[in-house]
Amino acid sequence: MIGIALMLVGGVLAIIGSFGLLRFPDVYSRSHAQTVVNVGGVCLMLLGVILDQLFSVFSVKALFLIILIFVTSPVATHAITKAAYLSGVKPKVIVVDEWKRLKSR
Amino acid sequence: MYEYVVYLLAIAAVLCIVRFIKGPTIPDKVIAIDTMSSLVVGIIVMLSLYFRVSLLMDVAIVYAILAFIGNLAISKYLMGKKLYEE
Repeated sequence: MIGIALMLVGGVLAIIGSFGLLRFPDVYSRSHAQTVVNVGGVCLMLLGVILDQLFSVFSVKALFLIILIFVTSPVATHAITKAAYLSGVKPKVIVVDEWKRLKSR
Repeated sequence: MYEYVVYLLAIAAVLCIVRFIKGPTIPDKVIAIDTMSSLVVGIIVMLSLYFRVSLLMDVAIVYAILAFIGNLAISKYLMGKKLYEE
């Protein structure tokens, strides 16, 4: 019962994160919304799968998928935002630019 | 009960497709496709629970690894270019 509740909460969080992906102004703030979908949506849904099927093949594979998404999601987000910065995409709201200060030193 | 979660994830994937069509720069499109691949992993897991076939979950694992490798390849390709200079 609590597993199905966690799956539904994960689906609602995925919709909220995708709406943020649609509404945020530039690449660097859209990557935050992508993290909401990855970790808050899909990983919470997989935790619901584990709590729903307690000792089963599904549970072991869902645990492996949770570990995989937790490892690969920050690496992919850092890689694509660094590529966006180095190819010249400027953020809309910028307070301090650490990379330019590091390069000009 | 699992099909309602599939409906929710499908609505989220449609929003990601809208961002992929509208996206002004290339990293926007890459982020939208990466988010949509993560949602497709969730949809495959839900379908494997719906049909009671545990082999579909292996498909989800391989799909997640291939999406990660493709994202790293595209970002490594974009890293040296000066595409959006003003």
